[in-house]
Amino acid sequence: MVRATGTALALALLGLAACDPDIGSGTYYCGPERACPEDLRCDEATARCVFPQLVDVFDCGPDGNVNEPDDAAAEAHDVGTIGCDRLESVQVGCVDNAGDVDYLRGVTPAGCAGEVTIELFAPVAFMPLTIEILDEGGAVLATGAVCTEVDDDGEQRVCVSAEVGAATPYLVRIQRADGGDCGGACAYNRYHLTMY
Amino acid sequence: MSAGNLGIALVAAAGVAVAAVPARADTDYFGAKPAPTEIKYRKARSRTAGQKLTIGGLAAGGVLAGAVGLYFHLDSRDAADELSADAEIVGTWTADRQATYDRAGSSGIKAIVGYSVGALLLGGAVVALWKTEPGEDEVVLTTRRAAPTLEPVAGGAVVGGVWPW
Repeated sequence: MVRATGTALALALLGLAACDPDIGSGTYYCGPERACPEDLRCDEATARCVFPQLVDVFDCGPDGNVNEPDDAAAEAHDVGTIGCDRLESVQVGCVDNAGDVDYLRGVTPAGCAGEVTIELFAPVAFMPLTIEILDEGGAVLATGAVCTEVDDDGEQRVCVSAEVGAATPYLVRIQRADGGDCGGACAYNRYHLTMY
Repeated sequence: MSAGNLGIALVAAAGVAVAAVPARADTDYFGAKPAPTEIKYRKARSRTAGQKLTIGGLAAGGVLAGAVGLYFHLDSRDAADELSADAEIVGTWTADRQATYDRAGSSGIKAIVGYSVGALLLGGAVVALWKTEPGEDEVVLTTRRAAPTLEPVAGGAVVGGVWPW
């Protein structure tokens, strides 16, 4: 009986050992609303799950707010001639509070249909963002939709495409989307755009 | 040597010869022995059907609970292995991964419960085996007189005996 009990106890202890995932610091990107494994916390600077003592606060990054103020169409940051799949641009930005809005201004190339496609990448850990293409008068031409819920880099991809016309100016607006913001505690996000 | 001296010498030699014979020299090892009249042996008693059912039930329950524990143990281990990461970035902590993490923990607890119940039931079966040990009976078989048999064979006969009891 003693042997049987000892064997069962050893198996139970083995079971205990086997049930605990061994997750190292920094091996996962934070999930929606800064979700992380039980013993780790979301480092907002890198959007990775790390040991609690390594956690840093959110920041927009070195280039995140260089275009501010850009909260209105009149203050839009000029990205130049972009569109028709021929000219590509990568823009970096940051929506640092729930009411922040970023505007960009572009012009489609001449000699093409004037189609503009934009992809926005932002960490899923913080407030979700959306993107719109507007005409110069401010009318919305197209609204972005989530095309990748979460990619391998812990980011959500939002895609939008619109027919603007050749050699035509347009505006791009980035702002918060519907979704969790940690009850207001993570109502910010940084992003980068690919425009073509 | 005179006749008187010769007689004394013979008597002395006979005395020495008698003294040299072993004490049991008179035992007749090849003589007929009395036939055994009884045979004794020990026979184990049987457990009752209820006792057998109890022990079997405990043992089967223990094995079953252990198997359930093993199932959840392996499930827990698989879930834990799926999430474990040492140094490199393996992905994003999604709701699916959280569910796998929770499964690793809950299956681990179920495994421990299964093993514990299995150990208790198997332990109970061992105790029941010990406590319901029925002991042994001594059985005595009394023999009857042997019936000699004689079977003629070519060139002789086979002699034997039959002891019914």
